[in-house]
Amino acid sequence: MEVMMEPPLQRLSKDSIKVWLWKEAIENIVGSAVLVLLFILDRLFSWPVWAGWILYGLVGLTAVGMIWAVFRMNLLHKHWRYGMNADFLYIKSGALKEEYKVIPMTKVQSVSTSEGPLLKKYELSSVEVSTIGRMHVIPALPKADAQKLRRQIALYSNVEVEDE
Amino acid sequence: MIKNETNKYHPMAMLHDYIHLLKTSVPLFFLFFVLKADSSTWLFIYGRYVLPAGVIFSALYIPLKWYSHTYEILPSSINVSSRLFTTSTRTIPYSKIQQVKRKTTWVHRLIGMTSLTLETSAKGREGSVTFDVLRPSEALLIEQRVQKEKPDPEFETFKEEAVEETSPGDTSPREEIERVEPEEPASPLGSRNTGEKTIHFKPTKVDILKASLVSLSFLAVVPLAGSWLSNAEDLHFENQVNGLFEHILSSVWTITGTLTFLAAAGVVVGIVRTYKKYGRFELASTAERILLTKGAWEQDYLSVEKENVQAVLIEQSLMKRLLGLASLKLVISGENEGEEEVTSLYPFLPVKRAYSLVRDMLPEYRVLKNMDKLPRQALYFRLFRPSWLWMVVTTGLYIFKPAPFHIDLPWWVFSSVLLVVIILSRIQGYLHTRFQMDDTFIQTQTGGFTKTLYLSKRSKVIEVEVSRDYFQQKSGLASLTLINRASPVRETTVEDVPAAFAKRLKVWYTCKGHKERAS
Repeated sequence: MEVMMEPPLQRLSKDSIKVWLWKEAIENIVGSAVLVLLFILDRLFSWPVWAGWILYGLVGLTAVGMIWAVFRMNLLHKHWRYGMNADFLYIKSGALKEEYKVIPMTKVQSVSTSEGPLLKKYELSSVEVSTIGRMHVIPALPKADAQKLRRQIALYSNVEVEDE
Repeated sequence: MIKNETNKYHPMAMLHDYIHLLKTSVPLFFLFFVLKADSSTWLFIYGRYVLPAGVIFSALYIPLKWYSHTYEILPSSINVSSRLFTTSTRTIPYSKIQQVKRKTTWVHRLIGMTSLTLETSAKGREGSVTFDVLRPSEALLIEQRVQKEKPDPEFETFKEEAVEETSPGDTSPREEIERVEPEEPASPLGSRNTGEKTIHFKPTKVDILKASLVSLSFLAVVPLAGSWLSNAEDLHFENQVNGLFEHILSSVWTITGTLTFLAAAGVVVGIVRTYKKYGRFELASTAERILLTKGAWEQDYLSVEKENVQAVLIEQSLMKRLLGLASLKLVISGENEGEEEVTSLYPFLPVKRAYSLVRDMLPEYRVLKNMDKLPRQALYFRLFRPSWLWMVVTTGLYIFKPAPFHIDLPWWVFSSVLLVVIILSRIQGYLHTRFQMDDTFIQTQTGGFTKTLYLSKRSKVIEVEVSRDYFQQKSGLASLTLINRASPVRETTVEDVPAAFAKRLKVWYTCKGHKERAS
């Protein structure tokens, strides 16, 4: 029984960290705005004391989240790997909780690339692979690589379909 | 009798629809005109006009529907058409039909008919065709046609089976294995052995009796009696009820008497309920399909293609473990809405019988011996993992300090009891977890109080996932998730296996030969 060699695992674009940081920054700005609004409301309508405590708690959590985000982005990028051969797609991710997925090409139902405004800014794309009842995303690849990957997956999964 | 012309549905379909209308409308009439007769809410005021109008309209529509709906049983497909206001025709090729279900209720028995549902892989309402009332001969014809689409035709056997099913007084002697030989070769394609139907399991009276005791369904009497008593209180009979209680509690004899009576009633109810479900149960198979007949009075008939079986589960609850029984279930692919992803075959089999049934019924499957156990550190790992359930419940108990059933105990007693239960469950989980694979099979066992053995083939596993959290990475353990097709998917997770096994799994899954599997 011949064993398929595991393909060399590739990394995401280095720019993915920037994209994630931007995203995090935008989310935090919106979150802080909401918090400020809540504080103003708290003053204006003199909410009960416990509401103030909850708000301070949220401020604390946001601050911790921001600091952690910087580390998290680096860890995410450092541990993200993907690879494929004619039969399987491999996705490995996560530092504290490491996940390793093996997806047979024959089970791929559709594959697409998409880019939001942030990804566009750095000329990146994410690849979405859906199988029966599940969806796998490879975020932040250079645009050309993403399109090549999409075409490759489509090709491999189609060839198998024709064989069946 | 092969009909290729357009057929109207059997006239009895109208009777079926009228009965259905009656069943659904009577409770509504009762609600609108009796219970809420005095209500002046707009819903009920208008409802009292809308409801009769709706019922009259439906009653008039039923004959029209019968007149305008037709079906055609063609050699390779079924056409279903309606020509009322708009004309529509649906064509369902036999080759697309995944499951044939036949249900014979007591109404059907009375008029000598049956009903048939054909399930395709399409989603939603369009996915299945139901014939509410159908002549058994036509049901048989359709079944045969569906069978014909498969490489090995089995019509002769299906005829045999139908004869057996349609004669209500039929009491065929119980046999472990009964073989029905086809009288003539069905087609040049069919080899000699493919067409025969093998009966694998038919419960005896003793089996039914045992099953009804195991299922503990007789305990249902207790809440029933309880609700009856509380209802009696609602009806301002407090004095009588209190009197009754006092009377019952007044002497040991009456207590024993009442309890014995209740227990006996419970046992009887349990036996009747189990008999109703599994009385004329039969598990059989042909080379291609698994055939299941359920129900004593209302018969449910299910035919599943073996190729569609994605995994086998053998489940044992605490009670069943004590009695050495197990329930046998199949994970079947299919995207029928509202359909459960797991089909239970028979829930009260002796464990060894369950194993041998898997072998007999699905010769492609094997039950592997010598499964690997978890390493010792997995136990410590599991014991020290925080339990969110316990934390949430304990916090809740501390804040609300409830006293259920007037049991006046401090909150920490309940919390400790829960902790002990969780620890016991984790220890059992550690002891129960086993895993093994060979060339093409994978087998895992998991579960705390209820233990579940899972069997599947590499070709039926559609995705594999290995995950390791921080502590697992440090101690060389990993968690596996195997994904099978169901509706849409079913995940089986085994936690804390050695990382080496996870590696073996990856190699096993990606080995060559994988391509040669069916989807």
